[in-house]
Amino acid sequence: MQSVKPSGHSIMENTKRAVRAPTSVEAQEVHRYLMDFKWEFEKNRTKYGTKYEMANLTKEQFKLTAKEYARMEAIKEERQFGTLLDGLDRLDAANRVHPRWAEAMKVFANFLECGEYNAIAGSALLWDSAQSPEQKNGYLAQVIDEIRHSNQTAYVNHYFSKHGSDAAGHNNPRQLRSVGPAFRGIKRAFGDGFNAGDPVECSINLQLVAEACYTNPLIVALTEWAATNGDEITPTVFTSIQTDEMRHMANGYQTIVSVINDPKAKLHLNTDLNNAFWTQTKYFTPILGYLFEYFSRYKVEPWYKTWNRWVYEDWAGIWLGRLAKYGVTSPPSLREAKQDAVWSHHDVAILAYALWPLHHWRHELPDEVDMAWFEENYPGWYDRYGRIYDEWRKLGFEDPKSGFLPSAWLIENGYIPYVDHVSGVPFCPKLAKGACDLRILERNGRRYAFSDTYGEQQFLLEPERYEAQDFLTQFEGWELSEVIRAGGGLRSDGKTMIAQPHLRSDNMWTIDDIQRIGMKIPNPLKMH
Amino acid sequence: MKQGQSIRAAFEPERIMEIRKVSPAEPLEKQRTMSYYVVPEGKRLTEYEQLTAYAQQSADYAGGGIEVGEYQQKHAGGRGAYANETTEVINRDWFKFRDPDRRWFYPAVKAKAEDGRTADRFMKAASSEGLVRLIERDWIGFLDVDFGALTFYEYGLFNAHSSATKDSISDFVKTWVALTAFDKNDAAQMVQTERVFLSKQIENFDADLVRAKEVWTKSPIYAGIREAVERLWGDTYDWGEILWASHAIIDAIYGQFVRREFFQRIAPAYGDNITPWFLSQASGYAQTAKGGVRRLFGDNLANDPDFGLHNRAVIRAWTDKWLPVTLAGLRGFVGIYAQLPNASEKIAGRSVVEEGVERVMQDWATDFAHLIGYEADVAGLVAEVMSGMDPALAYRSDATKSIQPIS
Repeated sequence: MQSVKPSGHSIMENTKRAVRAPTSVEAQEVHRYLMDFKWEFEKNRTKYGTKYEMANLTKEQFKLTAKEYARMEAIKEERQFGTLLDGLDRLDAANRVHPRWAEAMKVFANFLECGEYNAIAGSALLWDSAQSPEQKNGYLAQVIDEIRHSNQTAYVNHYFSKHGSDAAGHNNPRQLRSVGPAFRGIKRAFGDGFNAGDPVECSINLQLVAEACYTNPLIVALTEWAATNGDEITPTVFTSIQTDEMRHMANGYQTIVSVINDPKAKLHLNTDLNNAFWTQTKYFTPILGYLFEYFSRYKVEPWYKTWNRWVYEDWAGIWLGRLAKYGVTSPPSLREAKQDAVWSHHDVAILAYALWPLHHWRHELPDEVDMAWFEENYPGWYDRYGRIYDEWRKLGFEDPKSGFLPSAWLIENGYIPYVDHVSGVPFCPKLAKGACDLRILERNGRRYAFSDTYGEQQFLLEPERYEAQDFLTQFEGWELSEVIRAGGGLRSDGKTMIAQPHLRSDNMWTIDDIQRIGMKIPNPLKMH
Repeated sequence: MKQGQSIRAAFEPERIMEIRKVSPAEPLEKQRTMSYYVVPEGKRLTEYEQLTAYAQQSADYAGGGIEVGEYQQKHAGGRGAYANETTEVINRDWFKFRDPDRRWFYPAVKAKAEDGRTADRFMKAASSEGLVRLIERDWIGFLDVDFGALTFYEYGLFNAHSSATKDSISDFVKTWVALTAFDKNDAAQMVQTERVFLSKQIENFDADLVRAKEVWTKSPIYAGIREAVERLWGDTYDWGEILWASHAIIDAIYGQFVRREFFQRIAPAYGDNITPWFLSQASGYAQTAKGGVRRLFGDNLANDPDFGLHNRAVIRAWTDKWLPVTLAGLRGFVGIYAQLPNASEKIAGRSVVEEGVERVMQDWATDFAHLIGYEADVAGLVAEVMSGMDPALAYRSDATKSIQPIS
């Protein structure tokens, strides 16, 4: 053996083995060293602190390297865009979607994009907070995934803009989102809830509740509703998104695993879970049910059944059951949520109809077929809601010359709408069949409305986190057409509105029809 | 009807006809360009711009955004998710930034997947022809330890991007930051990929990082740059500063030198043509990052019509802070030349090393210092680095203490 001059480094006997056999390196062969990439140093601290302690040795379940991730995801992208741009284009798929459902996708794609985009920052927050290199790697993959999903959901709007029969609303969803009242809730639940808070609290919101629980109805169940209404575009994109969600659910599971040995976890975890569940369910339970049932011509099943399957049985039963050994218990708000799954989407639906000029979709009132289905599946529906829809129709709900605005009708008839300050979800105590308990608080000269105690408690504990004005306070006194213009709510002819109370091509409302009515945005908090 | 039993309308003639009957005869809207209201960077709005612009919902005080009002929920204490106070630099319009490579998800992962396939083909070809046989044994120790130490350098810079990804204030910037971080992570993993590749072919070459970490954490060769990376990762909160220090100073100077002037230049002299190939990807990623940094800190910040002067002052102050620690890191690193075994003047001579340092410093001055009007005395900077080669200052790796040469 030959001695080697000191190089200052390891000197090895570099006998070559079978050096001419073709060999490569698998991702797992690199990933196994990942935990060694870290070294300890004095100032190695997270910039976003958590009240929990995240363990040093937590592993990830999906063990991807950057190159392997890219290989896998690139294949999914090729399939998805190939299907969209070759297959579905040739079939004129965008024009085979029922117009009602195509309107729903103006909302769904936009809602989901909010969540996906904000999850980029939410996952980065966790990457910053985690101590273990493998755990950081898992969160990083999610950061990149969320860029993918943000692009994909945007692409649904892009696709419908280019190929569908009504591009308006698909072509400027973000502009409309910036003002529209329907988006305050999503910005809280699927936006700030993911990335503005204690990192573990954000993980529970994002991964343990939103992804492990609500992406199932939002992404999986939705594909069936879409396909049954002629939409093959959305399932192509959304099922591809869902292939990544399993990794995110695993990240959420690992977050819990990483903190569970910290004695403080027992003090906070179930409270944070309850707050996160309430935050997500307060928005998604009514909104998903509303979109599924009121925007479909062909219905799959009543929303409460879907909710029971995915939220109550799959998530609260099986998924949380897996975490029971760590002391995780079902959130106390689950009971109220289960009751809300039956009626809260109908409560929100009637308010959404009432505010139709402020949206960016066309939406016709339930017809006889819908009403029969609602009554069959929700006995008592007609007496509470159906009769109002019938009355609105008689008063000229659809007719631009009628001068009828359902929001004005609500107020005139004592159905005062409020916005729950923490969740951003509108509610009307006099109309609601779901859980609703109006509470108004005053602080520093401002008034705040709440529809239940869970949100009120969050506000009372940390009011500085919830300073945003609700829509009605923010635009109080504005004439309705001014708000519509400010939010980009007009079509390219500069006068026809994007939002319409019917799906016909004739008799479309213009901004002049709204302006002529001269309605000013009221602030119900000042009526007390 | 139950879930899973519904009819797919596309395959049901009756339903197809029903849908056709209620569909508009003519499109209702002529404007078919998504995000048509966005001001394009070039003549036409690109797909990248359509999919990215204003995807972020931020408070209306985030410069250039289209949102109205506050965040619905904020961090404890009242700070928003994407807050102006997360950086000292100010931009009239954060949403005006465009990645020069126009990367959104699909093109970005497609390019990286291609890099992965290319690496796979390279490894199969290089092993088939027995390329490792050309590597001189004296060089193997450098691949074990010093090349291994590069993993920690890249990994540390990568982690410095976590809060920058969280905090950056617009969709265009955030997407670019996240993908740039992903490249850094990849660069660290590709170093280890080569080491695993070598371990499969060279007897007793162990791919573990034990000795590399020992040297990275204990050797004076790496003390300076390690401290810089640690400060950036653990102790720097301003996301603008993190990006500028990472890519416009530390990686532009130290990273470029170590990858290009040391490994890519020296390795072939020891028969190693594998390492330069592997590092070419990391070098490519660094050039991609350079384009984005120049666009963000030059076009968007240094030349901001309202805040350009302020931004230049801030970025120059960051440069004043990070340039000395980076130079100290490189000054420490050039001590490594004294340890190269049987090294000819052609690869390790002072004048040759000095030329390399000068190339790097000159590139840095051209690419970054000039961008913000920073007065860079290249000759002085080179001299400062070269003092690390003075015999009295030459460092020796502590690792030698725990290593017994095989005799």
